[in-house]
Amino acid sequence: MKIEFINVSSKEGLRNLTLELKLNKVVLLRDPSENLSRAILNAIVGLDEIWGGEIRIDDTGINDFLQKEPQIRSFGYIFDEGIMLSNLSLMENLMLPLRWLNPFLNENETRELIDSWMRTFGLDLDISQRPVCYHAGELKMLSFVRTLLIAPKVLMIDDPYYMLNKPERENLFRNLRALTSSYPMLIASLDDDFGDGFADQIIDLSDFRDRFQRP
Amino acid sequence: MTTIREKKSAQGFFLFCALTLQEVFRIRSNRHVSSMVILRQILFTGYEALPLISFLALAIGGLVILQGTNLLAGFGQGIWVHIVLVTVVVNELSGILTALVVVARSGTAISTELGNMRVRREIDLIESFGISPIGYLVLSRVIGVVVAMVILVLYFNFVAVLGGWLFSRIFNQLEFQAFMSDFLSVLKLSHVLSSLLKSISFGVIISILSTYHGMRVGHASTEVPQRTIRAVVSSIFVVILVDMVITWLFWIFR
Repeated sequence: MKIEFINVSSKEGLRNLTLELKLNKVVLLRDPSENLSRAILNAIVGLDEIWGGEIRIDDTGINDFLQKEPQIRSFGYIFDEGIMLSNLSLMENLMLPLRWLNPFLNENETRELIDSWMRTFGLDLDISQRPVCYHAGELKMLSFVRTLLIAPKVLMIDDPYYMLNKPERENLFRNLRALTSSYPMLIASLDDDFGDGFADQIIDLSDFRDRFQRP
Repeated sequence: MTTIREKKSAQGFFLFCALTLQEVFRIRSNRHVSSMVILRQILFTGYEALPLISFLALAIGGLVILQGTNLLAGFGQGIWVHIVLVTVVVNELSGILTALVVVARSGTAISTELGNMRVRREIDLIESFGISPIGYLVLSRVIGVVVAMVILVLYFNFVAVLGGWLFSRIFNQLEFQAFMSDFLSVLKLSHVLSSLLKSISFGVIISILSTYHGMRVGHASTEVPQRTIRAVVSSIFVVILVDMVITWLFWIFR
């Protein structure tokens, strides 16, 4: 997948950004400020309001591209804070995007897949509980499970290590390395683990410092 | 400067209403994810408010009969106390008082909940799935509040009439059949329609204003109580205004 930012300005602070991302393998956005990298990820999934310029995916305008198939099938966005909807149980959180794609999906059909991914990520949670019952690191790991259940085309990960303790970081790194063979990834991180030896392409966004202006 | 900000705010509100209306026509496409939210909203706004509404309705119905009987008996017109019950309770108080209860309980809860969801970026999460937050969060709450509001107003009227009879029975030894016969003889279809129209309108007003202010919260948690206060004040103001307009329209076309 090729994503092009052509002279893009946005509400969140992008200023005439021109950038090309070839997401065939793992691309790392290294941004000392972390603002520009987040703004780029947000713009791709439509969380930002584009004021000028154009975002093109595989030579198609982003709106036309996302009309062809549900956004969630294309981009699995994992927020730095691993957000869960607090008014839903963990199971309902995991099922929400799945039900959005398939209204007739039965919980029992996916239960095996959910348990399998949870074991992979070292999670032993009672998913009938609400998110408030668990600590931030566990919820962040569960947000990876939620995204992988959808099997999107690209994994977009904002600061993978944020809020995780050392064992959780090691576990996540091991799993992400295993997933590189099956998923193209766009990762925004300053952690060295995701640099040489992990990412196939590293884009240093400090060269684009003037392309972001705090709104 | 103030004028521009107000204009922008008004434009934003009407755009929000238009988007909500647009989602009404697309409700079939996301009902599988929002039906649970609607049911929970009806449960919270309607079912959980029943004890408070029961107490209010029983007391108001009884007090209207008590005060009305005292007042009208002085003129030898005690029999017309049921007109006062229909006019004051069914036409006016049931809608207004239920609306105030719903604003105090559900309006504040909706505005605070959505505001906190905005602060915690939960609304961003929903958008990142490609799900419309207006379809999923706003429309489901609007439908839930409107349905609950209609049920609550009907229930208020029913309990208030019951309260009226109870007080009539205690103070005037009036039988239920005689009370209801008098009551139904003065109750017209227009009274029921007016009450129904008000309950629907108030439900829409409260839910739209509460969700609008909740969704307008930025990224600071300090904005949440500010927006909630605005939701409450504007809801009460618009509910009273619309109540006057509907009453006036029914009075013109009576």
